[in-house]
Amino acid sequence: MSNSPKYFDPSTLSKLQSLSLRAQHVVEGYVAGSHRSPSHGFSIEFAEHREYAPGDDLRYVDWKVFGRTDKFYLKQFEDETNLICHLVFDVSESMRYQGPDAPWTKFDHAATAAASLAWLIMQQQDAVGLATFDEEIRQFIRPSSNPSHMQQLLHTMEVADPQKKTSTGRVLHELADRFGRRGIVIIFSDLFDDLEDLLLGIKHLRHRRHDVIVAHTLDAAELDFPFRRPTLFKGMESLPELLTDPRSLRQAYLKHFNKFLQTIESRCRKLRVDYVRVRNDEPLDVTLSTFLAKRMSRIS
Amino acid sequence: MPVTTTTLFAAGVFGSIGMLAWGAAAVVPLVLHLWNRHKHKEAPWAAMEFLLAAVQEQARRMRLEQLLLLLLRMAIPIVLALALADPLWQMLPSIGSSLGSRVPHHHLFVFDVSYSMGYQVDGKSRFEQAKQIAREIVEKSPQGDGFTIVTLASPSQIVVSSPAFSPDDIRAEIAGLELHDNIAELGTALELTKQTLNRVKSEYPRLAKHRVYFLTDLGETTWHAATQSKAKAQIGEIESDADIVMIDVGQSTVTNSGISSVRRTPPVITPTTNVNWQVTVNNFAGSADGNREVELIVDGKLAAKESLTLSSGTPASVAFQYRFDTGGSHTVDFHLSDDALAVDNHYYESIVVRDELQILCVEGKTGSARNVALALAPNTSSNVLVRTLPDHRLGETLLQDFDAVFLCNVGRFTAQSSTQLKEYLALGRGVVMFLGDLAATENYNELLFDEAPQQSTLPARLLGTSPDGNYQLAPRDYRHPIVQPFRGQERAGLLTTPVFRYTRLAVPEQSRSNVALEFSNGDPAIVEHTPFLKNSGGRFTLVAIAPSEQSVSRDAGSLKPWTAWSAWPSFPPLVQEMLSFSIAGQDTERNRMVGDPISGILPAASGSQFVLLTQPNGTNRRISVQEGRGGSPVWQHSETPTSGIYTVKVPDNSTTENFAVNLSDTQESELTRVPLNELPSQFQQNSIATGGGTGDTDIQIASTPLFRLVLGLLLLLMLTESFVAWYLGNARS
Repeated sequence: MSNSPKYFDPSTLSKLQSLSLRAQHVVEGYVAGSHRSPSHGFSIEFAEHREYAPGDDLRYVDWKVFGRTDKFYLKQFEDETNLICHLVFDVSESMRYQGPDAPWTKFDHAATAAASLAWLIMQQQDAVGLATFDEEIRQFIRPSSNPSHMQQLLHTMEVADPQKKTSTGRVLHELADRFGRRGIVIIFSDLFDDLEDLLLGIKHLRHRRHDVIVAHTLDAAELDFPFRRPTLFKGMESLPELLTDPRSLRQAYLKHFNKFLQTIESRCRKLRVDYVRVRNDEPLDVTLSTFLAKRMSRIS
Repeated sequence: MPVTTTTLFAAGVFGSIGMLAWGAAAVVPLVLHLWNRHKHKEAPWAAMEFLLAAVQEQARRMRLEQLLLLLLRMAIPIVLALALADPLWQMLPSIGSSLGSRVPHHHLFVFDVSYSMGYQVDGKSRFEQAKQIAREIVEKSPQGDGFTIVTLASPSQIVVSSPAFSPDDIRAEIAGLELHDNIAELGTALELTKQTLNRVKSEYPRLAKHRVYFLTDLGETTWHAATQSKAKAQIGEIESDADIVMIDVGQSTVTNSGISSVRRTPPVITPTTNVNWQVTVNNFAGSADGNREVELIVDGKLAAKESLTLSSGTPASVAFQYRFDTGGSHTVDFHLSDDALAVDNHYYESIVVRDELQILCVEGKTGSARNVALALAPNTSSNVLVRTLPDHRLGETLLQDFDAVFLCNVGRFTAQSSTQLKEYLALGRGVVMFLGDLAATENYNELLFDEAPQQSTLPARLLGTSPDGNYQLAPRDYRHPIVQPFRGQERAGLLTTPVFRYTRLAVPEQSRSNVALEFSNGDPAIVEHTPFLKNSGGRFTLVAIAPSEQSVSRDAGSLKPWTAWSAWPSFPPLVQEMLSFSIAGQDTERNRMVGDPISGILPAASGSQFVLLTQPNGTNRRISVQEGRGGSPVWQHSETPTSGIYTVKVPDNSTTENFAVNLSDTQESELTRVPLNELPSQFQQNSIATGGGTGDTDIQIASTPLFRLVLGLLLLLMLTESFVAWYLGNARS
């Protein structure tokens, strides 16, 4: 993450132009553009006027223009938003892992994906917030759709230094309390934590009627365990070392790991939480396309 | 005593102990295992809790798998070293037998090559059948077995002393075996068998089991000796080291007849001589054969044919007469029409027809040999040519140019002249020595006499002269060939020969000397023997009476002759008989028995380095020519295992000499067999009687040597290791 423009790879973003992120549920916000909202929206910045037509709401008639021109014009507001997206980002030490065949760390991959999503959301005039965490919440940026907000988000991700252990469940509880309005919560994490605490945290978010997406970020080596020669595995997040012949352990490891993945996926399904697995060795556009396609299918 | 490593080695459990050192390579997998554990790569790992959970679940299994793989890898070099060390079942026979395995065997074939093994049934001889059986044993034996060969013959021989491990080699040796036309000596063969076993035991410990096969027809002439105590002891010693297998290729019912003897007259043959033969044929075995034909084949051409009728147990004779047209060397083959045993249906003779006889007379004083020469060649038409020399020229004369030498009252001999005589006699030539007043007794005894009969040139020791007197000759019943013609011829004057003094002779005890004529007081008058070699043919005749009246004694101033024999009627015929007797030795030299050596002397100027010997089977051999004791070039060939005509040719020379070799003993022709149950029990435990069949011996030759089993185990270990490594590594990961 030494260079922020890498999150905006044009080739990646051009492919995302045809997709739109739609909320599955009706959330609080303004009805504008393609988003349906139970409350009327309001403008943040004036964009233009249009001539009154029968049936228009008289509350948006610009009386000052009527006084000068003796004609009825309605005020049109630019970038109306009615969606709030919270990016919840795991910056614990395990996210710093990069396997032998991976192009970058899980953190790099997740941050790139998050930046891309933030940019896309803000392109639609929606608000994006960010929370980074490990054992506790490290940074919390309230949602905003202001273009200048994007730089703050990027900077926050750039300066993050994954060093600590994680405590995802407790953090999610705290975030559920802090998020004011209903919105979309996207969690980027490898979820290497106490599974029950984690799921309780997600459940808390769902209780607050947030639409939760789990972007389970994993390294290719964690999924395939390709090691062959005797290896001293140095545990991250204060876990112990282990010298072993990986070939003799592969089956057992994959059994445990796949069981972990299946458990998360099935529990997310029960909580009506979208679960997206993100591999750090796959192209970023594939990750985002898969992610957004899944969201679209649920909306439709 | 507990079995330690040392005792295992000492007992010869391994054929190549040094190869066990390769077993140290077993530490290599262990070192690699430890090194691999030390040499690992490091990697950070995020999903540690899942890896720890896997380890917790798999830890015991992983340790066992790694231990199994390590043990397999360590076992491979150990088993390889065991295989290279050539393990033997010697200390572990029960394990070996339970695995159906066997130690490498040493097979010792004792081939009976006596001539009765030539007996044929359906066109196949016993000997060929024995060879076939031996070949089958070789073919059935697994790789690693060794083979040696001893012949049961006279003399027996070790043909292959160090084990041959190549079946092709041993088959070639078996194919090269030939029958000896002789009887066999069991004792020597057993001794050689024991020697071979001992040698193989000490030099080839990996051949831990020994088996001795006697391939024989159980002929009585060979096997009657098996019941004697010495042979029993030898057989017991062989049995203690080896399994004995008796393979009997003989038949119980046989018929055989053959020529048992041939008598010829006269001994000396010239182109004018009518030669007479009487051929005796015996029906040796089985029922009477009825009419048979005997052919006289001279120089390869049929000269005459006669029929005779054989009846059981009774010999039958047939007579032939023939006159040789030309002088020189001739061969005669009497051939009885063939039966199952062909070798005794022939009798061979080598005959030298002499156009003239060359005789050398050596005299001690002038005139001593005059009467002898006159007696040898009484007229000019005689075919006897006599040359007389004084005794001092003896050393410069080539004696081999003469058919016989007459020494007449020679005074002294030198070392050179005595050697000349010995070599001359060794060639089968004849010497007649007349003593007289000049003969120096001490010089004669010193240079020509030896107490050891086989070393002595003279047949008797000289004791000095007798006192004067009137001595009478006694003919000893005319038994000796020299005096035999005088039987019934009293008028020939032998018994009235006047002898007043003579040289007294003493015949050593246990000598082979024969007294042909003696004085009435018992002193020998004529003594002869065949010196040096039993069958050399050279005959030395010593005459105690002076050859002329020139030998005199001085008595009271008067000269008194020793004898008037030279003027007596008995003198010429006696000299002629002594000549015939001496020359007959040359025929003996050319007519030998199987196993006798043959030899010859070449002209001094021949310069040939070898002579070419053609054997009865048609094969040629080069025999080197060596310098004899007298400086003459001589050749000798000691191997005459088969009967027939041996022809010697001198390169660059047209000279050809023929040697006839006949059976020495026709007792083998009787084909009498020793019943197996009369042989020592060791021969009866494993016996196979083919009875003239096809020779399917059904001899159990076990299967696989131990090193092959170990190699098989090695292969299995390597495959197992590869599979386990693949399964634990690639296949399951």
